[in-house]
Amino acid sequence: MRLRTLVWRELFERRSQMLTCFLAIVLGITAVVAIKNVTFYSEKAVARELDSLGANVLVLPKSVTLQDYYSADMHEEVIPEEYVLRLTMSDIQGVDNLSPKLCVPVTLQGKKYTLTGILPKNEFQAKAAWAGAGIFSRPIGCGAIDVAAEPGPEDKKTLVRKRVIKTLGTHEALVGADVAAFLGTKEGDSLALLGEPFSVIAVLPETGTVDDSRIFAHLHTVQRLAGKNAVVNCIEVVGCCKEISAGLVDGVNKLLPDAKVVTVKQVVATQANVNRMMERLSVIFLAIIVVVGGAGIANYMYANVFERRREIGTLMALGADSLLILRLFLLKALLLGMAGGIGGFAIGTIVAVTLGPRLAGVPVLPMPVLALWAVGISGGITLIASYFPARRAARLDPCATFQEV
Amino acid sequence: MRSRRGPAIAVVMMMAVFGLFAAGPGPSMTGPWGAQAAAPATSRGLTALDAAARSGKYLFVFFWKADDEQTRTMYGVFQSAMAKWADSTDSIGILITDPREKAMADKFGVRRAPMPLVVAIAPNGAITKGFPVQFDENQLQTAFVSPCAAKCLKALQDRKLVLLCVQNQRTEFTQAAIGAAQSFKADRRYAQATEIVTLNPDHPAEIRLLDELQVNPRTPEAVTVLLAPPGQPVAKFAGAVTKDEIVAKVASAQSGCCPGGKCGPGGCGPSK
Repeated sequence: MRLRTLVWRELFERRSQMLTCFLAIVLGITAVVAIKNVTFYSEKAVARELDSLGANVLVLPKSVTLQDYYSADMHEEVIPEEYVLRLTMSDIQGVDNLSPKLCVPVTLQGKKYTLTGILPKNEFQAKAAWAGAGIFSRPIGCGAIDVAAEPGPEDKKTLVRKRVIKTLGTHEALVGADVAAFLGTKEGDSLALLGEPFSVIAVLPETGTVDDSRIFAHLHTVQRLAGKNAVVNCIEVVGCCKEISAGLVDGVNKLLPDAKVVTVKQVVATQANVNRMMERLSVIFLAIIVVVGGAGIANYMYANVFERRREIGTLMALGADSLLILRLFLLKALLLGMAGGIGGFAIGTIVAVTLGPRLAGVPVLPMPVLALWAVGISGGITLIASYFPARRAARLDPCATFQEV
Repeated sequence: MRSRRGPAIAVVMMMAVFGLFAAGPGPSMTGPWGAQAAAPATSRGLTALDAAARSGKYLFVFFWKADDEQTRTMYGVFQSAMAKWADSTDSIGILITDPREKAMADKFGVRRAPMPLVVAIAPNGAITKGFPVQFDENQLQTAFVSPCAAKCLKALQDRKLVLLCVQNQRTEFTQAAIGAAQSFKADRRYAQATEIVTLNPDHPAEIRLLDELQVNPRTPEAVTVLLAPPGQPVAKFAGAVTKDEIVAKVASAQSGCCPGGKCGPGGCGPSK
């Protein structure tokens, strides 16, 4: 009888125990793969956010706590809109680009979306020149210079990237990718929002953030339609010069003591903490796999060897050497480990891809490299756990086993 | 039967009517509460603006919305300063919710501005400084700027590029510098959006502006400073300069995002 046949038959002896061990390995690997996958993409998102928005600052109501930069304006608390002009007219450097926002819920075709009021730059930019002659000594800020002689019409779709828009009509709207896909809205269409018609001037590209479920319109129109006063949920100070934004927070804190000033770094620090926690969690899961899975496998193998010592003795009496017995049990353990690793990787990846976007708010893609890692870990654990029982089996004395029987 | 109280009532009514006229706004009643007391049918703000421009004076406008503690305190500061500078400045208080001042409030776009707000306007119409909510006399004083600075601010507030030519008979390459500026302004791409302002570096009133622009008042050669709205110096050319050099700087500043500045990672602005 060939070794392969022996291993195959051996695998299906004591099926219930084998299945329990297999499940333990699969579940453990599933958890580790899912956590590692989500953490990887979450960290990537954090790094990207820091890279692209690192110099940005949020001005929020004092009582607001936030987890996600992109949904920083989605709360009930408000601050006066006049803060925008206070910032613009101040001598603080780095407040060239501001984006005040006010969010109100809207229902379109039975689905809830967020209507976000934004203020185009042309409505407050001129006030920056009210800073007086002192403005001449300021360093050149961020953002291309804006003169009456424009190089061409503004690409409104850059709103998602630049976070500010130069001009926006009172009844013009920019529609997020998800909203446009659900409603089948195209550029140039008309859209009824809170009882008034809006002209869709752009469908924004997909961002993978809550911005995809937003409709942007003029702040003052949104305030009027929502029955709100001159208030906003948040003011985003869009900076690109880290040197400038470093001193920005102190300046804004002094100017607006009743508001909370948060940097992107602080916001993403929360996300980074979650990532670190997930990383630790994956280490704990790994330890559990090693201890529980390893012990289970070792126990299963010991029991197997003990119960089947007569068969082992017979095999050896028929000429099978110790190495064959050792290989038989180790190969069985390896197969079990590999199957558990592959199964765990597959289920873990499905879990990560499905639940990751909901739990971490980032799109998660399969990571093939984790397959090697999963198979390696589970194979290694089963091999190590099975080595001593297999060695014991290989050292059995056939005569002694027959005497016992 | 005639009432005995008839003549007495008539006298009281006559006194009341007389009193009403006698309490009308005098020359000193230009503050916020005075404005409320008796506003003319047309915008007092716009009239004051015209008058100040005609007489070559600065106009300080005190915009207010609510008769609260902060407004009263700041109006005290405002009045005290205005009394000292009465020779060179006009002043007026404007209640932004007054329908007759709608044109004035809209002109300056202050309906949603923090109040009280003082806006200083140079004789040429340039807003030389805005003081929201809290200010003192020393801060108000900073609103007075040199004639050149006022010219630059006016052009920049009209969203124009400013070519500030710092030169006089003493400086070298004067002709080359002014020639390049004029040639740039003659270009149809920039003609409508460019203003040339000449500054004599020896003029004592311009020392502050030169200092802010970091231009040496004793410069031996002409200096041309390119200013972009709202007021940032985009480029500085010492000595001879050509139109092409200025065009290149403008093009770079229009397409780039940190003209001359230090940018964060990934360049200027989110790269996502």
